[in-house]
Amino acid sequence: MSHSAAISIGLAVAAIFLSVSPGLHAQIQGMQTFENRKEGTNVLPNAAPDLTLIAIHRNFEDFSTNSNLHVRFFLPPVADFRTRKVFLEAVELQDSFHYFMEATSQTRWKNNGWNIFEPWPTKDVIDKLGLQPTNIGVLARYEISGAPAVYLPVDVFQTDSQPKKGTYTFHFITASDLQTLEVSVTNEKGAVSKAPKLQFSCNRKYNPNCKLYAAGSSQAFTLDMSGLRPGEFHIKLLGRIPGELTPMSLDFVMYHQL
Amino acid sequence: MAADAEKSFRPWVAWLIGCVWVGTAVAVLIAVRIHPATITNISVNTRKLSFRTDATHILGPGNHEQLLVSGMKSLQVRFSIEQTIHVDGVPAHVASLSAEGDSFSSCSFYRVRSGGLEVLGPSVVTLQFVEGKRGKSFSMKSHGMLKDELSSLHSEPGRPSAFECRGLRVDGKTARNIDGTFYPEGGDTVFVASAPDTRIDFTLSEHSDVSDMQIPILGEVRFTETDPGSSEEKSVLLAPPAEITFEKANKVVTLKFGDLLVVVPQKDFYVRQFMVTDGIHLSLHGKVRDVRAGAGVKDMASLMPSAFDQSGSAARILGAIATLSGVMLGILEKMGLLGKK
Repeated sequence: MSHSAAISIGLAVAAIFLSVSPGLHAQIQGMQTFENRKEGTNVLPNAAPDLTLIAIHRNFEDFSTNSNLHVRFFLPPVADFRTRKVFLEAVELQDSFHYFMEATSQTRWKNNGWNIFEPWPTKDVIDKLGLQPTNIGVLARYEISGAPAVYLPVDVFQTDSQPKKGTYTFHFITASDLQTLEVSVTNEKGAVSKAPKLQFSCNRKYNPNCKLYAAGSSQAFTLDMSGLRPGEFHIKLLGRIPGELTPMSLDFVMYHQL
Repeated sequence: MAADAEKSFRPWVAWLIGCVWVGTAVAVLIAVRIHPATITNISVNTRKLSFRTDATHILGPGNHEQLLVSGMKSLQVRFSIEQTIHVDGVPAHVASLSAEGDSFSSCSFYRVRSGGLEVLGPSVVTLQFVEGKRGKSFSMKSHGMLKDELSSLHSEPGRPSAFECRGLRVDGKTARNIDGTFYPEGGDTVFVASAPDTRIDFTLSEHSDVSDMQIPILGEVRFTETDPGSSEEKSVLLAPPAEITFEKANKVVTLKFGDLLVVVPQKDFYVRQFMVTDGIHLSLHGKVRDVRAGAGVKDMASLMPSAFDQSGSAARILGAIATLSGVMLGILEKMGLLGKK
């Protein structure tokens, strides 16, 4: 081998080293685009306000790996449904991987009827991250310009074998420690509904500064609205922080459909 | 004479000298450009730490004023003597209690001693320190099941050793609320098994001791959290500034306050020790592939010493010898002292 050839090979090896070394540790992360959704790991804007709603479930069927999920929700009739924007998102209830899924806006939703979002195969992202069904929250809502968002309870299923009930599980995140939480339901006119008022508290006899829920944690409560007529309802969460007089609250609108 | 000297500078000698110099220069250039994995020691005080681990135990024993477990799979209590508990407000005298739960069940234990958490399989663990108006608290999230054995402590006036749970099933029935006090003298035992995704919150008292040692870290560690407003990654590092020591290169880097920090382990990377005081004080040690820091995500740059920095004095001396030998060859050839063949 000539000297020049040896030098050329040496420089080529050096060039390969130089070009490869900065990229060696690059990681594949982020969102992937599928036909009907974006899904992957993303930064989640949760725990920003005092209380953040992250999911409302009517039914959430357990599933194993390699399942194909479907999400059903009811879109109530509105006059200007063409300007209505519908959002469907899924997150981890207790965040470990920053999992996030959102339906893309190409999906055509049916006004005044049940809608099904599908397919949502778990093999694409959920199985790869090792997420448990009990740790996935799905939130559907619609927005019309100038009006507050209306949240829509969802059924998440594979075979749709469970009976439909008017009992909902609400998942939320609290930004502060809470000692008590009250949940009340009023109808569109502000009248207190027949739905039971929920009250949760820790026992201050055990510890005057006890925590019912810790700051940053995701929590859930169940509300039976099966005795109520379909329509919009205001759900109000009122929480009290240990040692503080000023409460924190969250008021949102949901559409109840039997 | 000059003509003779030029004549005596034969091509193969010129090539040899050139090769020695170019070879040395290329070797140095490569050594400066590549940043091989190296043993690193990191001292940092942080608000948050999230990592993947295959540790079988995490967090040592410690006393806690309140231990709040969110996501309870199973609860078993063995009372020293029969105690009165309330299941949905209905009193019951029991010597033991067994209940089942799920990811939405939670329990608070007041004045208990934790025996340390057993981790069932590889997990993603997030440790977080919060300092609020009402004191300091510490939480641990786990994507992976945990077990713990608690002992009730001696009750004090106005601060009984007690428990309260929500959403647990007793005898197959869903109970909204179970609560009761432990034996006032202490010594009741509580076995807790968590749901696959669980969170444990510790209320730290003056005498609280939350610490551990030798926890393996399997993946990348980002000392950042996402700002909900801007979706930007923000630093979670606290004072004093983090100090990173690359042992082989004997290079010490002190980060500026507010810098982002990302550590990418290669193998055998451990939390040597952590202790929760005014933050989570961490000592990390092991072989890392990369350590990046910067004022923002797009400003982050590798702090890794180059192979040249890591090369020992012997390697540098060898390089110098090779370079000098080229010079010597040239001088000898000029002087005609090299053989003619």
